[in-house]
Amino acid sequence: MDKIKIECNGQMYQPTRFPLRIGRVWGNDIVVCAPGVADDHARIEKTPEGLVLHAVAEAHLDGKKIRGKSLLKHNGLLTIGAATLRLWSDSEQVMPKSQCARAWGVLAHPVAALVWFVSALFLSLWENYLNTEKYYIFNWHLLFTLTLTLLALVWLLHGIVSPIARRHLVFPLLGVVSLVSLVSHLLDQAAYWYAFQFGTGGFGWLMLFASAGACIWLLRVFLRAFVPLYGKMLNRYALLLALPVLLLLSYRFLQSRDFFAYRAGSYPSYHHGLLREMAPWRKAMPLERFFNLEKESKTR
Amino acid sequence: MTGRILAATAIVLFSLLSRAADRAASADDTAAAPSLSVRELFEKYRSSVYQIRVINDATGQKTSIGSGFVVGDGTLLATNYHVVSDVIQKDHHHLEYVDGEDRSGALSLVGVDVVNDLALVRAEKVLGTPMTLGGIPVQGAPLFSLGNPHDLGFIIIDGINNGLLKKSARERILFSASLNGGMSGGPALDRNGEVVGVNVSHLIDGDNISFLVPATHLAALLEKSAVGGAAEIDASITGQLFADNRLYFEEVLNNHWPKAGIGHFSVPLAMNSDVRCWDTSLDVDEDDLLAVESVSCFNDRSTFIHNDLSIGQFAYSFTHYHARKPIFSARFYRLYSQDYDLRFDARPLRDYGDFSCRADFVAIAGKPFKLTLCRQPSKRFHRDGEAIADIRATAAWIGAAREGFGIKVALNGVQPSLGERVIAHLLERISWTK
Repeated sequence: MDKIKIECNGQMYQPTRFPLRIGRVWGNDIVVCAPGVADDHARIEKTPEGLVLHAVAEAHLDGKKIRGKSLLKHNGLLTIGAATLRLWSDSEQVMPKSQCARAWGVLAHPVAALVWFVSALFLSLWENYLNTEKYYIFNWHLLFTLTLTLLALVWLLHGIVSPIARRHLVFPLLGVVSLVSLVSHLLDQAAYWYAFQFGTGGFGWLMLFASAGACIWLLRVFLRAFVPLYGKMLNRYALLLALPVLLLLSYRFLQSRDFFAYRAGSYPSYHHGLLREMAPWRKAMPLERFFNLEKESKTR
Repeated sequence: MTGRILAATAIVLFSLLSRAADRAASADDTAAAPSLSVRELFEKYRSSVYQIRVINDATGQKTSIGSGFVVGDGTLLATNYHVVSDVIQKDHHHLEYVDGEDRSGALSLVGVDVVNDLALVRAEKVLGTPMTLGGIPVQGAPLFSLGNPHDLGFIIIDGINNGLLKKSARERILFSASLNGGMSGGPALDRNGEVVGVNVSHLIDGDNISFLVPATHLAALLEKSAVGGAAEIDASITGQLFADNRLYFEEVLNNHWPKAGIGHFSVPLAMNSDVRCWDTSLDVDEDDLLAVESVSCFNDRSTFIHNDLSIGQFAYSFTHYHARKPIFSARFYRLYSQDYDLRFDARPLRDYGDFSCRADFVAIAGKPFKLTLCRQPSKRFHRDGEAIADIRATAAWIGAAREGFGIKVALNGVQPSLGERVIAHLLERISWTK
């Protein structure tokens, strides 16, 4: 392959002169102004084997990191920073799509996203119902607060991601945020169960980290599929998007543990939740063992 | 003129008759000692009563005041521990005495008995005639208390001796009179001028209900101090707290504990004479989902350490929970959980360390309970590797769909090995009655 068309920012370039320089500053053959694009980011060189892509800074071709040089054999998506360039070597062939994008219908489709959103609201309202000590009256205040919080989060994340995505991603983000909310609630329940069974609150921290990990992972996958981003840019943007979500998760977690009311260590840390059943492998121990009275009576 | 003589004779006769009557009333205690009028008592002993002040070195002003009276060799003043506690508990404070003529002088601490709220302080010179310690007169005998209430000046008040409290962890004389702040540490005298007790407190919610520490405890402190037993005040307090706990709780462990049925369980109630139990069931409103029947027991044992710290209290409660409506079991357990908590008294950080807790499933009365036990250790009162601690335990019966049973125990300022034995003993006494 020795001819190529490059689609970037809605413009089609048909280079005739090589090496072709791609970068942020004036003087490159193709100037790309996007976050994460280096002044001199990549070059396409003509060699006897064909056109070769040379990554000066971090670049990904069809999602795979280019280590040094890569021979351009077919149509491909070149990602540099937050910018994606379509490299057309054969306009008859289709441009490869991100593999992840295909699996996202179940979360990103507007109907699916709304289902996740309603599920997240429902789970929180159910929790509230279980904890209400009087006859239950539908908690409109909680519904409004939750809706507002989730939508505000979507709005905030969308504001961050839309300049690099260059399209509306409200529903995919609604799906992602709702799923994170659901996952964190479910992990909270797991922590509640574990704390009751084992009498320790340590699992709560583990579940918080699990929620945080799930949140970062989900946002990372989302950015790969919908922007797309790779490498350092992907990690940076994933953390940037995750930050407000993580703050909310941490706030909720610490608030439920009286963190803001007392100095750490100045209040007893123990599990508060009761459940009806012990785990099948657990047994109620005799009081003597709990209080170490057997040992004491022997030593006396 | 004749009339005046008659009147004077009548007053003298009346005075003699009334003294004779009083002597007859307290014949058992007075022996041959003369019975004095209130005026005579005050005249005779006012010079042996002083105001005691704790002064902050930084400002030169008093942080607390109380009264004290001359005992021992004449250089010693007896008072309450709580009057002088600031000197022990705070840095850069010192003690002073002030007499009726506003003459003051320095005092040094000799010994304390925190359990009985007594202290001995020493002046650099003889302050007056030592007062004589006596026994407790019969119930109904008049007592006279001296002191300097609210820094208003030295006064004397009268009241009735109502003997030792019968249901109390501490030996206290019920003195039906109105003691006021500032009189703490002053002497309460019988008609013969012997010290029956030391003014210590009054009931805030009561009228004319005041308390005296019997003079026998002061005699014991004088004896101990004479052999130099209070050199290390903190170590001395620790020893007193450990010994008092052992004395109190060993008795509790050996007592027969009356039982009562609550829900499906038979539970031990007042485990000592000073423990009082009350019904603490909650009133149920129409829209409440849970009904609660509860009994709470607590004692009047409290040892003053300083203004922010009193220890020795002991309380426990038993609560039966049941759903009033057919709610989900999961919902019942969420609501039941709201009472599964441990409440600690706020303690100064300088005195108490961090909390530690442990929890597990235990069998109480053959039923599965979740039990959590937490404690907060004292930083100051420890001996042989064991620090007195505030201990809390909470236990909840699990397994029933819409029914629960909660147990809570609270002990303040007890050595954990002893405290946990008491909690275990209490839980072992619970039985299933259904």
